[in-house]
This record gives sequence, C-alpha cells and structure tokens, in this order.
Amino acid sequence: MTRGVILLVEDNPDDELLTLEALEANSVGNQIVVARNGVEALDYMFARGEYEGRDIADMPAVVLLDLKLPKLDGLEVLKQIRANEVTRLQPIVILTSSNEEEDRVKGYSLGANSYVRKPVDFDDFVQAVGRLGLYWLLINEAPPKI
Amino acid sequence: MVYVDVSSRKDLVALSEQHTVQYAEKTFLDGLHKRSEDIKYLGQQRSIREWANTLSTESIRAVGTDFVAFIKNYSQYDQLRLLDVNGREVVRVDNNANGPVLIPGNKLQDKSGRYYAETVARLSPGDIYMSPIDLNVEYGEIEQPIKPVLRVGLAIFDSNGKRMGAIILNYLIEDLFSRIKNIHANNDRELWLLNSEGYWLLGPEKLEWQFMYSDGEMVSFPAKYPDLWPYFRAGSKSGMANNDDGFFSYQRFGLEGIDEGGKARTWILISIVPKPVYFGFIAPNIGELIAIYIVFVLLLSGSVFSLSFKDRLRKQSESQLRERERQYRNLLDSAPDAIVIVDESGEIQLVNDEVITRFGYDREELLGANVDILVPDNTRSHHAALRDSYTRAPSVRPMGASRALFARRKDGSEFPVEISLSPSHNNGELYVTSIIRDVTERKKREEVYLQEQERYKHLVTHIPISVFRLSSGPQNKIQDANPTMINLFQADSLATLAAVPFSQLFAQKEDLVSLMNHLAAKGLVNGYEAEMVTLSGEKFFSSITAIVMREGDGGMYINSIIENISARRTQEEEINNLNQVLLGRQQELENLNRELEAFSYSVSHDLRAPLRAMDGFSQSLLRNYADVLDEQGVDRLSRIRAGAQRMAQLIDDLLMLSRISRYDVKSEEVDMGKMVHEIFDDIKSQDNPQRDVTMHVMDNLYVKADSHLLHVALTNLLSNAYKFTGHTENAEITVGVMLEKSECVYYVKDNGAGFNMDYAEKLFGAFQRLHDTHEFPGTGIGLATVQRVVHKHGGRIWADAEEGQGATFYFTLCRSVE
Repeated sequence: MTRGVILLVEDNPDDELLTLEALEANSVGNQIVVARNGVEALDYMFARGEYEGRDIADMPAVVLLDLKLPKLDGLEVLKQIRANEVTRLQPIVILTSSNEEEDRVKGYSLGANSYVRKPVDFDDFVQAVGRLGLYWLLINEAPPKI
Repeated sequence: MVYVDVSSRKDLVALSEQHTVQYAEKTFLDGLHKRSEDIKYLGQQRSIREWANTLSTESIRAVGTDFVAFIKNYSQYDQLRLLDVNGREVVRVDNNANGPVLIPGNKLQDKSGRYYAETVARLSPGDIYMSPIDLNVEYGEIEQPIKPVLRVGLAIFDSNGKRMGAIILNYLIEDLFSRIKNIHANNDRELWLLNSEGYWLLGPEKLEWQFMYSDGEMVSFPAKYPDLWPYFRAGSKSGMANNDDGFFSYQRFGLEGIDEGGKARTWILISIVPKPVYFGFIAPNIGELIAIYIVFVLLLSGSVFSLSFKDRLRKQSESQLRERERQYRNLLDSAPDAIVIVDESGEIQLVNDEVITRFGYDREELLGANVDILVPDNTRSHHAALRDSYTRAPSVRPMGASRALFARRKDGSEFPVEISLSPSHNNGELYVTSIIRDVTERKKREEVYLQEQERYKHLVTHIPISVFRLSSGPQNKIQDANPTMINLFQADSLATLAAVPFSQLFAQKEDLVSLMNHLAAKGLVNGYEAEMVTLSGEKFFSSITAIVMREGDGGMYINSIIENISARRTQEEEINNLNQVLLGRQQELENLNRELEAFSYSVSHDLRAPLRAMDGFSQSLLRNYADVLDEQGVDRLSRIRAGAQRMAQLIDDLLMLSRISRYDVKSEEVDMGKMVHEIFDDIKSQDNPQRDVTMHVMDNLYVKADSHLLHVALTNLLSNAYKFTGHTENAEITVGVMLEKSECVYYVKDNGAGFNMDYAEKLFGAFQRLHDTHEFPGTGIGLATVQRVVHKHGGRIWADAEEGQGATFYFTLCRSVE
C-alpha cells in the first residue's frame, strides 16, 4: 500500500467520522488529512495558508471530494485542481450523497476520476470505502510527478 | 398622269398627297382668280370710266362712294386706291376695325416710287398685276399682328386708250391661307406654301415670312432641304420625294391666265406626311383613300368632258377612256365601305356596289335621287339644312368626327354608321364624296366592352374594401375613390375627399413620407400600416397596399387599397397583453420550478446525511458495543437502521417522481420486449435468482417512447408483479399489447395477490398502499411514478384485478394513434 496521503474533503462531522471508521474498518493505514471546506482543500493542494511550506509536488494518493461544501463547493475545487499545472493529474473521487444526474454530468465533465454515492446502509458504505481504498491505493498506478 | 398602281398602301398615300397638293393649288388659284374678277369689276365701274375721261372732282367723289360700298361688302380687302398716271393717290379707302374709311384729300400720298405703282404703270389694257405676297408695312415697321397681303393692280385707260392711272386693291390673303390650311386640318399631315425664293409663306411655325426680316439668319426651304430644292424649283411641275423628315409631294405653279406679266413668279405647294405617319401608316382608312382617288379621277374626267374635251379626244381614243372608267368602277366597287358621290344639290351622282348591298336599293333607284333617302326618317327634315351649311363651308371630315349617326335602308330599317365627307370642286361645281361605314358590328363590340366596363365598375363600387387612385408627385391628390373609401374617411362625396391633400389623412405625416419612399424604391408596398384620420377627425389604423402605375407619356399615378385594421389592432393588443400575462405566469412557473429543483437537489444531498449517521452509528454501536447491549437493545438499534434505510428509499423514490415531472420526453423506437427481459433479470438477480417465476413477453414488442422513462415505468410494474406473486405457486408474468379501438394498449399481467377493485381509484396516488408493509413492503410511490411516466407520453393507465386472482395494468403511450 502506497504511503500517500488521503485528502478527505468533508464538511459534515458525522460523515467525516463514519468515513474514518470505514477506512479504519478496512485497515487503511495511510495518513488522512481532512479539509472541512473547499478553501481548506485548495490550501492543502496548493500548499498555502495553513499548509504553507508543504511541497506542492507531494500530491495525495487520492482526494475524496464531497460536493456540497461551505465557501467553495466541490465542483469549484475540482475545477481549480484541474486548472493548476502541478495538480492537474491528481486522482479525485467524488464521494457524495446525491446521485443527481446534473452532478454526475458536471463532475465527470470537470475531470473527476470516479463518482461514488455514499450508501445510507453503513455496511454498504464500509464495503464501498474498502473497495475505493483497494483500488486507489493498491491497484491504481499514481500519475508521474510533474 | 392618272396612272396609278393602287396595289400598295404607300402608293395610295402618295396618290392622296398628290390629290391634296393639286386641290390646294386649285383652291389657291381660284382665290387669286376671284381677286382678278373683283378688280376687273371695279375697273368697269361707271365712276372710274367717268374719272378717266374727265378727272372731275365729281367723278372722284363718285369713285370714293363706289369704293366705300365695295369695301363694305368685301371685308377681306384691306385697302383700295385709285392712283393717277404719276402714281399719286386720288382716292383711298382703308378698311379698319369700324369699316371702310375714305381718306381725305390732304392725307393722300405720292406712291410713285413704289414697285407696284411702277409695274402697274406699264400694264396693257385688261391685264392684271399681282404682287408677290408679303406682310403689310406701316411707317417702315411690319404691322402687328402680321398681315399677309397680296396687291392686285389694274391700269386705267380713257376711251381713247390713253393711260390715266391705276386701281390698287390690297387683299388680306390670310382668308385664302386658312382655306388651304383647312385641307389638312384633321390629320397629321401639313401643307406648306413657298414663294419663288423658297421662303415659307405657309409652313412650320416661326419659319414663315423669314424674308421680311432683314435681321438674323433667314431660314428658307432651300437652306433646310438643299437636296430637295433643285427638283422642286426646276424639276417637273409636280412630284414626290422622301427624306428623313417624311414624304413630300409638291406642285409648282404660276399665274398663267391671271397675271401674264407675273409669269416668272411661281409658288410651290408641298404636302408633308411626317415619317412616323408615313411608315407606320396605322390602319389606313383604305376606303377614305380610295374615295380621294375617285374624287381625283372625277375631277380629271370632269375636265376631260368640259374644258378640253376635243383636245383630249384627239390624244386618247374613246376605248382607252372606257377602259380607264372600267378600272375606276372596279376599284370603287371593291371598296369595303359604301361610297356615295353627290352634287351640290344633294343629287346622287355615283354609288358603288357596297351601297346597293347595304341599303337594298337598285342602282337605278339611287342615281339622280336625293341623298336624303339614305337618311333616317326622323333626321331627314334637318338633313337638307345640314347639307346646305356644309356646301357653304366644305371641308374634309374624317370618319368618326361627328356624333352617332344612322342610315336608313330601303325597307325602312336603320343601322349605325360613320360617315366621312370630302369635298371636291370642278368647274365651280361642288361634289361631295361620302364614305358610309356600317358600324353595327363595332357598336356591338363596344356594347360588350361597355358591359364589361360596367361590371368592373360595379365590382369596384360595391367591394367592401377601400379602393382609390392617387396622383403621384409632391402633392398627392386622390383622383378617384370608391364609395367604401369615401365612407371610410367620412366624406360626403368624392369631390370633398379629393379636395383634401392626401397628407392630411395621415395622423403622422412622416408615415406618408415613408410610404412614398417605399413606393419610389420598390414600386409596390404591401400592407403598410399607418394611423389615419377621417375628415371628421376620427383616427383609425389602416393597412395600405399600393402600386405605382406608369402611363405611356411618362406620367405616373398610384393605385391603392386601404383596410381599416383598428379592430385587428385592438385584438392584437389584447393578445399582446394576454401574452404578457402569460409570460409573467411562465416566469413565475419557471421560478417555482427552479426553487423546486433547488429543493430536490438539497433533499438529495442533505436529507440523506442524517440518515447515514443514524444507520452508521447504530451499526457502529452494534459492532463495537455488542457486549453491553442486550437482545432488546440490539433489536431497537436494528429498527433504527431499518427506519433510516426505508426513509432513504422513500427519498429516492420521491426524487424520482419529481424528476420525471421535469423531464423532457424524447420519442424513440424502443425494443420493449428486450427491455422487459433485462429488467426482469435484474430484479431476479437482486432478489432471489432461485425463485421460479415464468415470464411471457409477446414477440416484436416495439414502441415509440422515451426509453429512460419507459425503463422507470416497466421497472416499477415488473417489480410489483414480481413482488405480488411472491406467495403464489407457478407465478406467471405476461407482458404484451392489444389493439383496442385502433389504440395500442400495453399490459403487464400477473397471477399474484391482486387487489380489491373497490380501492382501485387510490391505486395511483403517492404513498397509497393496498397491502400491509410486512406482507409486501414498498413505499407506495411506484405506481404514482408509472402514472406520471404514462401521462408524460400523453397516454392513460388503468388496472383490472381481483383479490387473490392477480392484477393486470394497462397503459397507452400516446393520445391517439391511427
């Protein structure tokens, strides 16, 4: 398992806790950074604000991105990451409550690598997170550093 | 000279022109001859002879009295004088506006130096002097208005033959000129009269009398037509010529037999047919031309028989003469019109075959009879008077110059005719050639034409749309308008409407300007809208359609119609207002829809998160705190989880239902059989692949529908069927189509639990359930969703069931199919 960071962008503390529990239940030992709004997420990605001094080239193994976020919503975050020359290849998984067609169309259009709907059934949720971890941390080859 | 080939039309024109100049010459010379007769008569007066023998004061007074009497009777003479042998005036009578005036002795002048006095002084007894024709000069100035004068002189001798003096008579020749001009009064041709030097005495306006003016360039015929002049001046006495200006026929003549001393003096009469007339000789009146020819022949043959009968006989044999006569007769009889020649008393001298045919008389009955028998009974009484007045002032009257005329047949019946008259003189006898054309057929055609005109007029008069004609140009005026137009503008008559400038009928003058600009650019304007004002000041909206019409002479006018569209305008405004209201409503609806979308969006996102927390943390408790939870605790946590999950399902179903309402239906060909199988396999695999349910799907089940929505509907219907056959052995589900009243009705039939039809009407409402949840779980939204899908397609849905006997759901997918 790559030791890369997982960036979890999630404003709902319940969902944050459940996600962390689900990751733990799947024995994912990677460092997990939680951003609670869009601005924080971009600060981390672009190594600014609170994260100033971080090596921008040191990209997370995967970003788990919620769509409904305070300040800057998930789609805007996605757009800016894709627009930045350094971060544009960052693997990003949209992990959200809705399966609105509109969200899926926009998400994929802006270059999301995956779109996963959080199931209400926690067993299903744990299973989904486990499969995500398996795929993005083990099976998937990370993009080359730019 | 009489030889004529009448085979061609142009020859006839030539012939007619020759006749014309000869007739003009005859008229001219007759006029001069009359003057010589007059002066001879004066010379024979007793008072003159008395004077010649005595030179007494008494005789002078007597001459004065005679002269005054003469001038009183002959207003065409301007002046009459007696000169003594030295050229001094002895008696002079002037003709002024108030009549003849005898000039007193002390005002008499010495005229000895004048050319005419000198010429007269050399005349032999009985000879007449005729001066050149010129304009009268008073005190060195040409008298205005100009006064063309011919002076006639006669020498006076006493009884011993001693020269005593002369009489000089001034003739105002305008009198004669106007008679010559009259010959061509009614056609496009012209008659000119030139003097020996080729100056115009009669001719183009402003070119006459040029030789009288010493200042400026003197324009003469030789200068203008140098190519023609040598022939006209010195060639044969008569002839014809062509040039760019037209066809010329001339006749040169002198004073032979009148003034032997003036032999060298000649005049030339020219008849001109302008080129366009000559070449384009439009529908030449062949009958008229033939008649002129006949008159011409008549004139000449008249001279054969009277003047120089014996001479001619010597030159021509009688048989030749007969042959010629036969030719004329043939020509006359072949004319398409009736031709009658009468003498001055109205006695018929000659008729052609056409007269016999048309009028039904024998030739013998007509010859010698009075022409009045051809005139209808009711006009016969005036006819003699009319003939008399014509005889006094004969002129050429072309066809159609007079009002509607009728002729009478022998049997008393009448027919409409047109008559032309041509006079000809021969030895002082007047003959009138009358061409009578039967216009019965033409009148009929005119009648038909008039009826047609009447019909069109009726149409325009009674059409319920305003029709009018407008003059073009800066001041547009209504020239014509139908009653609808007059009423529209609240005018009491066309005259009232026409008196108003067209611009005054426009509420905004710029509208008229713009309309006219359009018309000038395009020539046509269709449905131009403008606000107009009636004469009473009422305003209305109009639609104007107009077209520019051009006349042959380059003039223009505008034909137009106007519709009052005020009512339409009002309706349009109402529709506009309604549209505005609708637009507002639509805006409201769109806002509502957007709010609804935002609502369902946040429902989709935010309502699920708490449920996830409930389920997630319940599970977390169950997993991590199993050791401190008793059985009841575990059960309650399980119920929390089930509740959360059911609510999540409910939210999903509700979102689906609301999404369908906003969905745009596409129409595509769908293989419904294949879709049914796929859905069914899906349902089975998610539930229990081992369960035995038989699926029947009709072959070739194709529909026109939105495949996504159809998928949603079929999923619900098939899930229901699958669910409600859960307790049935040999479960069977059938999907098919049947044709009912030319409508495709699709159905999904099962042999499951069915339901009581008493509750059938509740079936399609949201959250309506006919079964207990523990027996058959569900949210109660499925059939509401199916109904919405069907309605979106414009179809209907209904069900048929019996408790324990299965249910059948029927639906159609369009309002009505052929």
